[in-house]
Amino acid sequence: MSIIEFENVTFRYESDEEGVVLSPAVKDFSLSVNEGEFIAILGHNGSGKSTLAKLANGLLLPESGDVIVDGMNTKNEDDDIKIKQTVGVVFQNPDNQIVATIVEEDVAFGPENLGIEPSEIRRRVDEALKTVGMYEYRKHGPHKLSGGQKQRVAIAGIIAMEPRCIILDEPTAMLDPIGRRDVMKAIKRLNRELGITVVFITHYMEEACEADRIVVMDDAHLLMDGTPKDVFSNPEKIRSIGLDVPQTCQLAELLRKDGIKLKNDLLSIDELVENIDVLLKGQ
Amino acid sequence: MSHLETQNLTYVYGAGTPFKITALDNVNINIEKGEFVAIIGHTGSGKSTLVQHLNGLLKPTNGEILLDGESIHKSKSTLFDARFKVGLCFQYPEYQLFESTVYKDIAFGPYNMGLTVAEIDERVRSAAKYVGIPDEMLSKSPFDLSGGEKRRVAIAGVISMEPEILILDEPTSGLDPRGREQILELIKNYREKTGKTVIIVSHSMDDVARFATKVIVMNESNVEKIGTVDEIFENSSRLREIGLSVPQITDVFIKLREKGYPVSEKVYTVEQGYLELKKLFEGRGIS
Repeated sequence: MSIIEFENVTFRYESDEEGVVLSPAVKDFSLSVNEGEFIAILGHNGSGKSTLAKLANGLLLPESGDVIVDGMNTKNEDDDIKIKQTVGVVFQNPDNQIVATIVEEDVAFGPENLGIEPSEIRRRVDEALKTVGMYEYRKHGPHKLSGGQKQRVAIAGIIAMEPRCIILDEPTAMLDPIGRRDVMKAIKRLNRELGITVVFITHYMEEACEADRIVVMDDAHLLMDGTPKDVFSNPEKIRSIGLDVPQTCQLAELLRKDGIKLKNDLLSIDELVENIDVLLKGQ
Repeated sequence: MSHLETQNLTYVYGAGTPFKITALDNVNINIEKGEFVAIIGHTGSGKSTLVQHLNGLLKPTNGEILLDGESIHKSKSTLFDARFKVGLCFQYPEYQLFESTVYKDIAFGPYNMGLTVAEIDERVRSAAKYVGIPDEMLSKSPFDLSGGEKRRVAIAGVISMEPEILILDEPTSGLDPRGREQILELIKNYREKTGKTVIIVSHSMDDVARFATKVIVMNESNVEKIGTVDEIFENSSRLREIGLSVPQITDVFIKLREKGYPVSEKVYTVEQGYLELKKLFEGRGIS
């Protein structure tokens, strides 16, 4: 069952200059996001990824085509609140998303605005902070946290609204390696333990490998849609649009050209080491 | 005498308040002409505070910064010189673009150096060329450019001052793979063509391994280690302890060694990994 359905969606931004018509940011795009899935969306800067995130919960409305969230059309204003409750969005820069001066108050902001009972808010805030591993910081001021910690607080703020789907738009782009790792861990937990549908937009190929499914955008279009192994086993196509395959795939690719029969879908270090081991022992 | 060096550099934020933090504690580094230096360290280790001292933006609580042997805080004129000799490009520099055209933005630095119009023009065009900004883009508003283009314009704004030492604080963060590669290539070319010293602050161990001639590892306000790429990455467990990592490819070879294969531990890039594995396969008659 799909939770978000893009049906032949086209969207273009308006130009500041009069009379100038920009080319579409998303063009004739169709995709169903199934409930419970973990999808990564890859694409270079300007390929339309962030526009998709904003279309998915009605922040932007399609010029033509429809976006259906759990049976509701985002064009229908009466369903606006329900749609935003169903699909939450986390953006790239954590500093733009934090509104309160205490971590737990920030996380409570969303549920408060939904008019939820105080005791229920308390429960949700505590749970959300525990899920992202920030419970012990609940009384801290957000400005004193690291980028990765702030981003996890922003994610907790979304979880506390109990959406069924969370879209994350390059949530790790501004973080250091530890911040990235902790945020990734929190995201995987949302999906695997809480069953929340995750749509994860990223530039990092290694992170995209963690998803069940990868959608590759190029120039406002959907270019590829498949499992990480499907997508990365076609390195030429990936490179032709300015992206790259994980280093493990690059290494295997070079050796394959020399006739060494490594597989073409070795996404992790362990898979690559294992395959090398098998080939060498086979002799 | 080093080109640039710090002696017992200490910097304390909020001294005399309950929020006092020692961001740099007795830091000694030295940088020679023409080096490509990478500064690595986890968030909060003092990297950005350190580079902001190198052109006098921050004044040390204790210690000295010596540029060609002379303290940059000796007088007003030495400090003024340091601002131009050491060019600092901040993290996310595209947020600092402010002029109405790309040309004016790149010209801002040279203009403030008091150069003639002809000199400024030459500086702007040559800096734009280094970063791959075509002539027709110079008349555009910087706000109409893509993220990667804006970043390159911001870097050109520093290069146009022709600093002896170019410092870039995380120049590739937030860019897509092609944008990252373009920025790294332009920095590398700039250094090769001009012979100038480059310092980058980076979170990407892969990039550090590919480009740096010297690596400075910061940890908790101190210098943890200074050395070549080989010397820094040889101790992967210590790097992990202080919140860093080794390049992904290096991990492949660590695991192969654990399985008993006689492969080198000094493999940091895909190309090096390829050559090393090729040797291993050929040695066993597989190719």
